[in-house]
Amino acid sequence: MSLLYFVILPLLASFLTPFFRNYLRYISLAVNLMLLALSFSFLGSLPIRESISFDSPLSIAFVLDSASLFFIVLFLSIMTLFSIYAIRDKSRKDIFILTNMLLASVSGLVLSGDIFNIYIFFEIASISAYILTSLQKDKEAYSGAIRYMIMGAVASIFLLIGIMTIYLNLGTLNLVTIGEKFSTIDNQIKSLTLISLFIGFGIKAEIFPLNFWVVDIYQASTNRVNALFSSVLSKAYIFLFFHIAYILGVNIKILSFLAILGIISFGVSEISALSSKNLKRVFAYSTLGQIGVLFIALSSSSIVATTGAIFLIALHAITKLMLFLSLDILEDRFSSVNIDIFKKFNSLFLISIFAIGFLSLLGVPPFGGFIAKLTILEGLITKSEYILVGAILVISLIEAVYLFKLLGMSREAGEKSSLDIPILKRGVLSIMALSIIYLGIFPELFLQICKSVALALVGVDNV
Amino acid sequence: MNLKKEIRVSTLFISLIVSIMTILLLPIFLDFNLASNSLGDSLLNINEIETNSANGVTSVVTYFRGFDTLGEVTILFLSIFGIGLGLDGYRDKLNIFAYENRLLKSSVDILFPLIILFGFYIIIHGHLSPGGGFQGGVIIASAFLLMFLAKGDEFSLNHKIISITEALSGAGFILIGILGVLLVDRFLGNFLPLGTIKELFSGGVIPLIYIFVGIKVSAEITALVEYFIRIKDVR
Amino acid sequence: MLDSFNQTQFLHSVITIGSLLIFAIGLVGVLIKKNLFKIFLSFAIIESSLFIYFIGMHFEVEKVAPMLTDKVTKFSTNMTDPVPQAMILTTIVIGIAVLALALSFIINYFKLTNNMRVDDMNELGDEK
Repeated sequence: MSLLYFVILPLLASFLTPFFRNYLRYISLAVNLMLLALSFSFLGSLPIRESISFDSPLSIAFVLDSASLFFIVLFLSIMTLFSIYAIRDKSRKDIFILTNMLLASVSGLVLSGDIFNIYIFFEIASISAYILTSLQKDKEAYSGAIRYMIMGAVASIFLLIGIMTIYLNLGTLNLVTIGEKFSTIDNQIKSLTLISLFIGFGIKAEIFPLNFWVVDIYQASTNRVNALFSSVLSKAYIFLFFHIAYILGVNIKILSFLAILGIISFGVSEISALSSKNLKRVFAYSTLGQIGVLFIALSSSSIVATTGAIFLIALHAITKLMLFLSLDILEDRFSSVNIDIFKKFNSLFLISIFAIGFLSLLGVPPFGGFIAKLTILEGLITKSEYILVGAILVISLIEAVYLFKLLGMSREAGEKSSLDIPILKRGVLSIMALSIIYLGIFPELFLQICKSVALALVGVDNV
Repeated sequence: MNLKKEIRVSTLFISLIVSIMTILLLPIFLDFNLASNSLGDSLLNINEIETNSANGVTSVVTYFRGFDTLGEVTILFLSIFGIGLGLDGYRDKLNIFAYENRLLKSSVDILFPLIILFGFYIIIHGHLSPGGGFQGGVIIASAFLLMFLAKGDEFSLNHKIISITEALSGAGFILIGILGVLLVDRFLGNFLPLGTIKELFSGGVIPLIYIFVGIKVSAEITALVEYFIRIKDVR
Repeated sequence: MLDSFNQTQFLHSVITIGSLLIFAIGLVGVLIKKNLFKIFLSFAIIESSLFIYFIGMHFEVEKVAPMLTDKVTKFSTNMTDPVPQAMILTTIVIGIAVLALALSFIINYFKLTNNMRVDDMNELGDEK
């Protein structure tokens, strides 16, 4: 059983599309389930290193350790839930070609151990994202897609500069060898490389000074595409950012700089969410805020906080998928995403789904978000970062203001229309809501898994 | 006639900042010291034993770093697919780029098969002389471009055949890789006999990979040319 | 007299200065130009400068191409490095794919709004 099946099988399903255009949805779902089974079969034998084409330290290597396995299982589960949700929709069959490519490229990003290979998968994921943004074919969609391409081209140029300086100075493209030899470059070139890689990976990971373009992209694309961007793409790029950062051996000053960027990002996003009247933009600002919290937690050099960050990554992916798919149901019914559609619907099921999602984002017990934020704050306290803890609590209060305002609007009296939600979509949304509640009440096993992932990500000798 | 061109203040300001940054960066780049033993030198040392191909760059592109080539082929496929989603009204648009030129019209019937033959020659001999799948594929696509320029609206492609060709060659590349996993336990491993160097039938899987890549690239770039030529309604 | 110019250090300096100049020209183009297509062409100019730099810095004066011909009969370290050439091949193809996709989006956007300037693109943003 080769590790490459995670990348190759979705790619093959996309390539062979002209032969089975009408059955692509079912085949994609089957591929996702097969790959989930394959990933569970690797559980006992980590870490695995597989080389491509020939067996030597000089070849491209694919590495599976607990961090990569966790992310692959997370992405496959989200894709499976998404495929089940969208499987009956006959009008948008073409989206499955792009979601298969997205899955293949994201798995490759997580598994690959060679920096130029990572660049190739990065580009495949970017191009899938550009086309996904433009699927609606109206002028907002094309406007958003063009802006996304401009920012993506900037990111790709800086990434190329970084890779070229690494190869010119070190002569190797293998991540482990780069990590060993990186400190031998002289300081000016080293800072140039680090700045280029920071801008290149940071534009896609959506950290503070480089994320002014993100909210417009969320407004331009449809809600299902936003669900994929928010739960799969951003998490993959954050993992990639910190994976490369820990391999290159960043020191304490850079990590505290990243934490400061994280707290500014969290603050600015939540304050901007208060004044927005478009629900897609509100959810996009909320995603950017949670990414800020993840940056604070992942750069704190405390294993407890990193464990909480991994827990938050999984939980936030499920929560945002649930919220954006519910927003998709609302938009289908009312053809608008203005904030006052919350006053207009009367479905107890959907209101409880939104309530579970919002309370979990805030970190209220007994939902999963509470455990995640509690673990992160515990970890920050053990490192005596009291300012960061205080800032997170204050900004969470701001987050509470607009989320409770939305929930309050749905309880207002007024003329309401009922919604008709098909059984399949109800089932998918309930599975996600129940898993959020389960992770909030019985988190111990999942926390153990997250701790081993955190140890693998940071690299046990960096602890 | 007034030939003065207005220059905005912001233009001058940005040009000034960029020139200052360039002058400041120059000394950093001028004393670079390159690595002494790089990946490429080690790969060239084992090239003869592993692949028996006479062209070092081809063996790096298809065999030693064949996975990057798979990714690149995927990127081309995705990009053409994305263009096809948007510009898909090409069937009832006109080709405005045709030239009414006697020399072109009478020579294109002879040149078209010759250019395609030349393209196939470059694809197949990728491991013996400079060339390969990408280069030959683009040459074949340029032959189709010549036909579009010469024949105007009388020449159009059958997109069903093109998409089936693309699909089969892409799947063929991946199947060679999967055969490598099954037979030699490495993805894209070499499971064909290596032959003697400088012969046409040498190099193991390398000529096969490049043939699939060449057919796929030529089909895709030809489809790209047709999508962009038939856009008369824009003006 | 011209032989004194045929040295590795001089060639490297010329390539460095030249590619930095082209990078600067492309960067000014990206920042200043308002027409959408010119912005993407400036990105292509920046990428070309990076390719010239990367391949040029690996060249040294006595080295030959890494393939066997009638005069060169075995692989040795007297050949230029094939890995950057393979990397740049791949990156050139990625560059054209992205540029073609951008051009198709610009064409579709123009058909819908008749607008080719980047500062008139105001469909997205918060409604007040």
